[in-house]
Amino acid sequence: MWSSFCHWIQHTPVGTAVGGSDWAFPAIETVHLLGMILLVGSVATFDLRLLGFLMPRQSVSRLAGRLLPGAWVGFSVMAVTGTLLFASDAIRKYGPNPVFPIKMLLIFLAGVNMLIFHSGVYRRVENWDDAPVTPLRAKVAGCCSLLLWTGVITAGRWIGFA
Amino acid sequence: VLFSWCQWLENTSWATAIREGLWQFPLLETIHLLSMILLVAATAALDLRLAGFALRRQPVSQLAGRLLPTALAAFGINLVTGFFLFASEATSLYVNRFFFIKLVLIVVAVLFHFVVYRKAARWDDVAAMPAGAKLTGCFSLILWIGVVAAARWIAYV
Repeated sequence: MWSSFCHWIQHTPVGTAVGGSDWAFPAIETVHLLGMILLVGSVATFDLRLLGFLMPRQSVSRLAGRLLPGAWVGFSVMAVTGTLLFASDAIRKYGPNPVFPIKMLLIFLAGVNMLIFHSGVYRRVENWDDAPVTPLRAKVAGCCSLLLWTGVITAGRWIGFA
Repeated sequence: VLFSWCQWLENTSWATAIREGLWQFPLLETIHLLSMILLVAATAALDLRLAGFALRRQPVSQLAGRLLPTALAAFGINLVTGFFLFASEATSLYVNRFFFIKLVLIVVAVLFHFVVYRKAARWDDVAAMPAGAKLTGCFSLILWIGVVAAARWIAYV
């Protein structure tokens, strides 16, 4: 199932185009990195506010409103460019790569952490919006998010060496 | 002279350890990458403020005072990890034209920062920035994107 998916995606016109070009891969990888700067820069700033290290006087919901759209733009850019990079060498390199599923699992866990935060403690954000010290559950969410995204980057870098 | 220095550097015991070890090189590269995020994100936030695209109500000097120390610390980490990564492959990087382009862009970005950028950070509380400040922000942003792109291309020649 997985290997037939890898065969299919690598043989799409986009997959063969990226795989067959000298400059497409580094160009797409550069955009992937720029998306990562936007995503992780925005998310980490918000996480550090939750943990109380940054901007204690900024309201949490206002900060969320300004940072999280940037994070979603960064995430979308990464998802699209990441799919293209995967498609360029899916059968031989990325499909069988042992670190690739670890990276996907960490991204999934980051998503779960975000869901728990937004459907949990963030629903009553008006109670702690301006508090310099956030509730423990918000701190745990911020801490998990920082660790998970650091893990995603580390795993991403390790794919190239595995 | 520079090339023989690269040869010597590459053959030091620690450079050899980085090159031949299983985890040293990827670990250094991951730290290099994480501090790059910090450096470029902090710099880009200030660039976007100067260019007038973001954070328009924040005074420029206050923003600069908070972001630049972070950017500087991250730059220091990038310099140190970058030096170790360079040492492990010094002779092949010496002839890599994208490595050369990356170094030139970094030197330009740093010079630009000290010569122009520090003055541009003086426009406080102005919603509409002077054209010079806007250009400064855009130019700095383009320079750092260029550094990231050149760095990524080093591996593909």
